[in-house]
Amino acid sequence: MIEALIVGLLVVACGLYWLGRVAPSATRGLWRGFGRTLQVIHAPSSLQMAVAGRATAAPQGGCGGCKGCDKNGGCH
Amino acid sequence: MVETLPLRAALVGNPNCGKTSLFNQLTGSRQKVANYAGVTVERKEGRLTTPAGRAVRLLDLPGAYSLEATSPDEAVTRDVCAGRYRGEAAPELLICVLDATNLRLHLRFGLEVCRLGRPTIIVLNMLDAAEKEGLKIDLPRLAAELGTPVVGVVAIRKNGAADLLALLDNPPVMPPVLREADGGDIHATVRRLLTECVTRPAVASEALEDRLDRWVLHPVWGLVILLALMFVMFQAVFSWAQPPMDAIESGMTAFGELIRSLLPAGLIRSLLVDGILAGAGTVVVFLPQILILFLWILVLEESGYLPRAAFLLDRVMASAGLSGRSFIPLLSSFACAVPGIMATRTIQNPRDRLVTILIAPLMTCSARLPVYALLISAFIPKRLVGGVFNQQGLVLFGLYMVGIGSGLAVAWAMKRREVTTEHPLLMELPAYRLPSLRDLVLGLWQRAVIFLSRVGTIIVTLSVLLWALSSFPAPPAGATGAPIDYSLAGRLGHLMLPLFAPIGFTWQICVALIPGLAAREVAVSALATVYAVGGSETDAASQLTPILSSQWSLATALSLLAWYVYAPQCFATLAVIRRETGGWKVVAQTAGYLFGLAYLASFLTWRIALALGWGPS
Amino acid sequence: MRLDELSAGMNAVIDHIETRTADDIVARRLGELGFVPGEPVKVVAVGPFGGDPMAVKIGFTRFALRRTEAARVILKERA
Repeated sequence: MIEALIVGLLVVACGLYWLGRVAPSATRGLWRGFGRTLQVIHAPSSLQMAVAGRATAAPQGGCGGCKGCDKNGGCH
Repeated sequence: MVETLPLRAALVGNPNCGKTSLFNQLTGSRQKVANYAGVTVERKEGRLTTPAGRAVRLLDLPGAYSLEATSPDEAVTRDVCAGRYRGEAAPELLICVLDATNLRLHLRFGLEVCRLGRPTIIVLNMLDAAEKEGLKIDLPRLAAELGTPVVGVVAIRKNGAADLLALLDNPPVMPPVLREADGGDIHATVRRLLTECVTRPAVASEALEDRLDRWVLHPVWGLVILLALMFVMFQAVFSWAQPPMDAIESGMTAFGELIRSLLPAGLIRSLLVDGILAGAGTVVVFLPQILILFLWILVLEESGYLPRAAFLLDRVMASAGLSGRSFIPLLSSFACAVPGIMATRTIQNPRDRLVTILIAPLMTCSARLPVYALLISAFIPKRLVGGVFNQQGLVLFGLYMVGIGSGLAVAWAMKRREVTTEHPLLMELPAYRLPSLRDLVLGLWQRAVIFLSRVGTIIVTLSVLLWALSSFPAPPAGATGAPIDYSLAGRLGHLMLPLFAPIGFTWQICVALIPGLAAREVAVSALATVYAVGGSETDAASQLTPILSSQWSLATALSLLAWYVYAPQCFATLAVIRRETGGWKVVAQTAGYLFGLAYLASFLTWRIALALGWGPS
Repeated sequence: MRLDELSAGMNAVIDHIETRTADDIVARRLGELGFVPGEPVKVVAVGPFGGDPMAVKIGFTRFALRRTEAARVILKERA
């Protein structure tokens, strides 16, 4: 039973990760809601900050999340 | 006096002047990258603090040969320098970077910048290389002639920009006072400045350049050298990489065994072994091959050889209707099509740019390497051809050539009906440089980090998802078939099979194609996961190669290789095409024609291979 | 004589740049890259297919240019 729970959580986390990559606008709402919940339960402020950063993060470009491409076309 | 607002400064300079290294050196990681409003030209801004504590906002402008712009990049530089760019405040200070070893070319641009009548600092970069060549540059004299401060820096060395930073404490506030003595002729001024401020000994290094170029650019020997370099490169990818790959593979197997012995059979063990380890482990094995490929590319790039290869192949490109400007974007597409497509911004002709964007995905990017290497090592026997060449390396070389050939053919087909306009080449052949060990190590390290972080994010998460899809729902009680046939992934694979059976794909390949859209190498991890979940408990999870060679026919493998030469199996590429062209039309065109070509090529390969008797027995 | 008629290994001096059209970008760019009257040039190499493009050394910089571009560079006749 615990095993199924752990596995289920992992799978859901991976699903959320991909939802965030493919449709960042959908997950931004989720993070915002999570942030509000943290405020209500008075979670540690560093945790709140991290979640707030997630909610406002700008979409990032590059290939596969790599941002090392320069304008002259090198992939560094 | 307390400074409240940061100083707004902008870096300008010719391409190849080391402006970007200086920018990195000055601002470190405090950079912000965005686009200029309305155009797809990258806007890079960084912050720095001078020794005396003065804050500076530094803008890195696109490289330009002249303020008379001929490309969107140069137009941005021109307008920002002149303070004419909408939404961009005029910089209070221009920092003009010149390559000290190539002053004859760069000084002209420096004079153009000085004539703008804005406070300017002239920076001579690569001063160490100039000294090594025996060049003596009289900085105070040059500063007096230009009427503005001149400092020397070595952008690639730590603290190499100390003089510039010190100068930024008290930057010039008045525009340069040029000593105009040559009737306004900028070239005459350059020549006069060079004779007055630079002493150049009659050096031997010039002779070395000439001797090297005599061979490298030779009509026959040049091509022979180019071909030999390419050949050795692909041989090395297979032969040099074998020992480290074996080591990683046995490490993965041992790790799998360890988990097996520690955890009881169950969901978690299945997730770890069949999902994550089978998926990510199979891809990690290809790290040595990717690093070797990049080592070659880095060495060729740093040494100044690549523009010479472009010189040799220019006629081939021209006959396909491409301009010489397309070469560099296409070349970077061998690393990854995304920066390649972004580099097409330097192409002035919009039609040329479109064609280059459309064929960039046909250049074999490094993400295809794991797919190619897996199939080649599973199906192509390791045999020497002609006593020297490894057959596996030859096949890999052939796959790259098919990609290049197809790209040229597509370009030719698209440009065929056009009226031929002139395609300027006008490309600088930079001086040869011995690649520095530090740069090579740093470049490879960054490559390894990028690859491993892709494995750690994209591939691990997709493996977990795919594991879940191929494990659930569990087969109903009393089911007779394999459990995976009842899972979501199994059903989906069988659903797609009628479409892909005519080109020889199995249902497992169909399943792997879907997550493979995220990145091409994911197809390898996806295949590993599907076979690991579907396989019996005794199969070692990380041994995909023997499973494939026993379950697929050679015809299937060749058909899949052909598919991967063409198929646009990469979301990131399609996304960047949308961003660069500002619409979905080109995206639809690219995806449509590439999928069409992929299907056609696989169909032909499958049929021909069947006719040759390489089909399933 | 024009630059594209110069064979490999030969030296010459630039007389002027010919402007083909009212707004000849190539001619202007040539000037910006240092192809200006009085500058000595040397053909370092020519391309493998039909001698196109050509590698030209001007001062201490080398450039690759196609023949149609090189044809805009008019050289001084040697006396």
